[in-house]
Amino acid sequence: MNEEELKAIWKKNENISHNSFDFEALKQKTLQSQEKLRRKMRWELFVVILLYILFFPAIFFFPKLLLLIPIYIGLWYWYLWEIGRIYRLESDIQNFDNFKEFLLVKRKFLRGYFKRTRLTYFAIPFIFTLFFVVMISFEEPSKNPFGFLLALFSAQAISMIGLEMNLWLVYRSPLDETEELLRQLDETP
Amino acid sequence: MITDDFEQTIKSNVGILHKLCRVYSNNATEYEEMFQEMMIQIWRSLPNFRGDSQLSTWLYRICINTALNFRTKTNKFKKLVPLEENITINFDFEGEKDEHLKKLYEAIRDLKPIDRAIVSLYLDEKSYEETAQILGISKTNVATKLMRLKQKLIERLS
Repeated sequence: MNEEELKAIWKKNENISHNSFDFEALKQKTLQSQEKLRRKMRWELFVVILLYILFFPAIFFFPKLLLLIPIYIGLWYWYLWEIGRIYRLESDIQNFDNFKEFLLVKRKFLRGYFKRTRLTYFAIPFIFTLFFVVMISFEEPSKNPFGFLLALFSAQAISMIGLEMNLWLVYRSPLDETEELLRQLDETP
Repeated sequence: MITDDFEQTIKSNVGILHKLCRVYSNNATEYEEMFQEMMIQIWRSLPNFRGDSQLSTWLYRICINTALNFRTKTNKFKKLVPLEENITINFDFEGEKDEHLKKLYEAIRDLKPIDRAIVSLYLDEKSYEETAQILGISKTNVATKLMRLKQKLIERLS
């Protein structure tokens, strides 16, 4: 067998016929698909709102926690923004000039996402501690500050474990495959 | 108007979609899902086609990107929401009754994902330059890879 024979075999694909497509149905499915994506985003938003609601009882015991709400809003807004970027990147692959460019952007984003998420692990306890120190410096705390700090750090530890698992389960695999495809593109036999 | 353009584009280039779906899918369900995903991507991007390259090259770029990305999406967790109902695409696989063609597809599917794209483009008479442009690698790299891949396929099918 030679190259011409290979191409001749491949040309047999041209014998394949196709029936007519239902383009109106396709259009509807495309819209439905986008709507489902929006629904998923709305679900994420619902979870965030639910977390806010769960946060409220703590305010009755520590009213000054109200001042932490802007930080919480900022963090969750950032989280939703990151999630949105992932969805957009995955669904707009046609905007890239070539496949390698898409892979490079995806890898950069995923690596950045890992770094940014982990950076918040370190930043949040410091922000909370600083906030707490500033607050108790004005008056004598009525509650045991160590108990409060312990609760904050416990919540932080739980969220760290949860986020690490989320990164591992959801984003590690796409990152590894992106790396592998880039390696395949660049490898020379 | 866009619907007409889209319909025309798909009808006249359905072979590209078919071949890439055959190369990258392992079963009929995957084939249909991938085909549908390619059509969705084409539907979304057709209004942005500027005519800088040939329509077929542009379609290859979108379909290869979709196929290679589709592989990553099907693992573990899908990022995009899967469609519940697939549109029935009644392909008549007349061509694949041919044993040689079946074996060729099998041989291509045994290659690495990127190599499958290079071979498909080569068999469809795309130049090294077009292949390099679609994948984002150098012409030299395409030529080197192809030399090895052609040899591998010929040995496998001989």
